[in-house]
Amino acid sequence: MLSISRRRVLLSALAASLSGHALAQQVSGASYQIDEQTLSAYLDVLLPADDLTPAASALNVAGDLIDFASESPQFGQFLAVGTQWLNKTGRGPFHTLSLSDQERVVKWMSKADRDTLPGRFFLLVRLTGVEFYYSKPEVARAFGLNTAPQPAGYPPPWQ
Amino acid sequence: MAVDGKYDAVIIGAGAGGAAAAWRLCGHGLRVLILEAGPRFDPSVDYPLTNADWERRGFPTKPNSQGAVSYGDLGTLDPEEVDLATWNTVSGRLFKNPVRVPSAAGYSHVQGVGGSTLHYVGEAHRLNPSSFHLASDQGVGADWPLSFDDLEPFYVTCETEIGVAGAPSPSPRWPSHAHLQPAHPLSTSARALGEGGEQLGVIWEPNTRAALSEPKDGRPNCNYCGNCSRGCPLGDKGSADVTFIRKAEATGLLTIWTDAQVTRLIAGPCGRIRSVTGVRGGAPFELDTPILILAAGAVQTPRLLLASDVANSSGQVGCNFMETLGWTSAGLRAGLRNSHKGLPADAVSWTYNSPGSVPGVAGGCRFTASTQEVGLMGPVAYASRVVDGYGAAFKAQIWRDFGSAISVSGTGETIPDARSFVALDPEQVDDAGVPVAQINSVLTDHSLALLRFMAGQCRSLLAAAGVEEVREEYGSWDSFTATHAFGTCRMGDDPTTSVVDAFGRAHDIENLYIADASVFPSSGGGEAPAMTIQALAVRLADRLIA
Repeated sequence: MLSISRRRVLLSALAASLSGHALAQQVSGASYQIDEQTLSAYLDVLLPADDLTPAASALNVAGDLIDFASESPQFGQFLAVGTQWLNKTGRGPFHTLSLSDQERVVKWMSKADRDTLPGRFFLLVRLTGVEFYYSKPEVARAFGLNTAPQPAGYPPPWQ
Repeated sequence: MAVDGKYDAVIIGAGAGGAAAAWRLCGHGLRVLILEAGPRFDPSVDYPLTNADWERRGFPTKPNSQGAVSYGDLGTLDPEEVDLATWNTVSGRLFKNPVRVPSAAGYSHVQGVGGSTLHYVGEAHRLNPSSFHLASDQGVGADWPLSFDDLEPFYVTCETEIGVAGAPSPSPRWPSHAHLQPAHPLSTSARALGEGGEQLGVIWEPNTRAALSEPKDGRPNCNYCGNCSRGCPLGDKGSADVTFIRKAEATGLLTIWTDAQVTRLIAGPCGRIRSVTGVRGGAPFELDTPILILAAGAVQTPRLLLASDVANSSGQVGCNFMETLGWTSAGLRAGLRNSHKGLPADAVSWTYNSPGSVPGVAGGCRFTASTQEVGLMGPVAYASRVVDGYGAAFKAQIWRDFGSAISVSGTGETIPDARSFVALDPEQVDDAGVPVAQINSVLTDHSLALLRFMAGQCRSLLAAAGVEEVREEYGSWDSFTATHAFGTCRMGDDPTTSVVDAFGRAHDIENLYIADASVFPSSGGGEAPAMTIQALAVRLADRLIA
């Protein structure tokens, strides 16, 4: 019945979050400079390594987000403002903080109002981060899945 | 460019109806030209299901593969009904506007050779026989000017040509079903819903599906990748391009012009359409139309008629728009495995499908096992929609829960209302200067009552299937999504209240026919319309020859 482009959904959500909102003023006035090291460190807090799969940084998920943002200047500006904000949460840039300090910041962001920059940054970077991370063939294989549904399909029986 | 006298019939649109009409007319020896505004898709190249990032991609878009539409009044939201809001456990409420808005899919369609059958999941439904006389029985909407029995032989023809699998329970809907292929096996989530449904008196059965369970006509059987709506690269799904179009082209009598946008129908003397004008590859064309079949869907068909100012003595062109009334609830069932494997919409319940079977509501609805259909097929969907959190605990939960999702959907009847119609947008025009179609669609009290019923049933069905916590819900209350659209050129016997007759011929114009869901007087109780569109189109073609 339905086939919704996730990219379009995301961009729509982003546009909605920025329109007519104080956040828009913060973003529109910002320089377009995404701190990739901070973004990568932030994504590693969201998606750390475990026994089966590597951390987000090992799969260059931050680079994927930056490439993705190149298709949407609004999203790029949003990442820039967000990483700049992250770099002001401690005594140095976010990526230089200890893991426990990074985790404290992210925990606070995860509970923040989604209509504020920290809350919206948490939601949108999480959504795009998991989209790229769980699309990696290394991760699919760890799930025991085919890296793609075709050509093998999933012949029955299914238990 | 002028190509006169070369074709016996011109069809606008290569979707379900246009393809079926072309196949039948070519079978009768007519030379047919289809003018298709969209492109042709190559399943082996265009569909992304062999790519590692398949889950990030929906059905592909190509130049001209979407028709331009705008949205007018979609209704306002009553905060008292917030229980019907769209939400998921990751993002919370997705729409917070005081008015209903189009979803990302909006009027969900494909413009191209095969039309929206290219991205449909391939449910092969017959309309409930009682739906043909909705107005007589329920006092709302309109009756069809033909009966189920009139249409039944044409259902058989289409089902046989396409290849339909299923094992329907005995009902007036299926007086004949010996021609069906064996039913597909049920997924683990469909089986769980079936077991739980018994407690609620909801009867589930294998859905009738235009997906092959056995090879046919050089097409393979389905291998259950579950991604019909992303485009079927195997060709087992019975989309119009690999069925009617392929067979019609094999006759040598069918010509298809892709990327050919018709801009106007030109009226001639004696109540006929003399020709159509359009643009193809930047070049204008005009074509004679001995017979013209309009099959552009319930949004673009009325737009063309309105823009051409023809066939509208009744004033009904564009009126009676009926959208897809839908609801979906999804959750996770502890211990369930492999629910991402199987055929989308593999099980269906018709328990509440007959008009009047839902207490206090005139129209009916049906329920579908929808885990694959709504895309809970891979870890991206789980992580984005139904498993919240982050960090090590989140990743562990994804490992644990993947394959345990169950989703159930309700699709229901929409009753025509004066506030729901397709008009020409007063401001927006397309590249050819034709006003775009503006969709206005408002939920009536009837729709809201049916939506509440469907939401309640979906939640109960999930609970009965062992789901302890709903993780995602979406429906028509706060967002407009129309995978099926109906009614904007209603068929009927009375030329003052309908646009076409029982065979799809325009009351006003003797050589103009319509072969799409715009002719539906009623939407039915949630049945997928493709098979009915095709049966009507074949019936129309036979009438033309007769």
